[in-house]
Amino acid sequence: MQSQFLRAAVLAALLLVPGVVDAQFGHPLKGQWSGEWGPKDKPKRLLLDMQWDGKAFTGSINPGDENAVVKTVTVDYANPSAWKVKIEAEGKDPSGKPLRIVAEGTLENIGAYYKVFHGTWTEGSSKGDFTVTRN
Amino acid sequence: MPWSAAVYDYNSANESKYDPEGYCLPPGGPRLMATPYHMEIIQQPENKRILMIFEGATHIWREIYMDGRQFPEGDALNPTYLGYSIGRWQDKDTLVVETRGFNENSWLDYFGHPHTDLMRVTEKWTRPSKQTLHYEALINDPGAYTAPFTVAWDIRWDADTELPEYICQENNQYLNRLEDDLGQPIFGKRQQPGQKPAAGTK
Repeated sequence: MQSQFLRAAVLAALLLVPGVVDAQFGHPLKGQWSGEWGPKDKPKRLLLDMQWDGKAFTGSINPGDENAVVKTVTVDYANPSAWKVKIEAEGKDPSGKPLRIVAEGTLENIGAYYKVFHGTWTEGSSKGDFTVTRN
Repeated sequence: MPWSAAVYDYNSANESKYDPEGYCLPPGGPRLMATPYHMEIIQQPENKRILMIFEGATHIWREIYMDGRQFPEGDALNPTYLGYSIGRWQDKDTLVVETRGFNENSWLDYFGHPHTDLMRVTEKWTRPSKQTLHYEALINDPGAYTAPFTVAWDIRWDADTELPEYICQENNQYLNRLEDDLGQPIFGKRQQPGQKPAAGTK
């Protein structure tokens, strides 16, 4: 009985521990990003998973049924505190037809945990603002 | 590489305010051997290990395996701040240590040179005199640098010094005042868009 109580207490204590933001000081674009794009009253969720192998970026957008594969990433480092980033990806629309996605914007707060990437999101013929922050 | 040069420029412009060691996080790679605090090296031939205890670098220790083992592969090489170190003696008086499996949570130096988890480091320790350890490190990080490079310096040995206690986390007021590029607290509660600042804050 006592051990059950202890287990419950330990579990409760673990659940109370606040989440710790994972530091990441490698390539600032690497990692998982989440946010939204489109009109504010009807935003669409975004999840970006970006990997850096030292030569190029690979990754995916909205892994799962809506998955789009990142094809090219270009970064302009001219302004060290506000990088210009363009991500091009290919997915499929609900009917299964190819869907081209382009995210073009600015990566800011590069050195902090709370990195922000925002700009214009183009998905097929639709276009809107987007903002994602690094998880 | 362009990205690592841009990150270095950015960190220099920010006067290294995002230095993870300033957050009391452990330094990774050779920076560990350059903290301005005492360290102790304990050789354990019976355990085929060398332990390094650091007072600076956030009160941590490092284990170097001297038993001829191989590096873990794949997910077994869990990325960490200090990486996974395997050592051997070369020519009897040179300690050679290879380290892999670094995470990306540290800088190479105070000036903000970044590294990636592709980094591998080969370190060499020699003792040219009784009071001097000579340290060299070959840094190979194809994720951040176009070619391997070497750093080196001397470390002074003091026979009569004890290892004093230093706890970086204690009363680290620096963290409470630190704001990011967007004017938000790095470790406190972020102000949401449209939210009015709390009384007494900016």
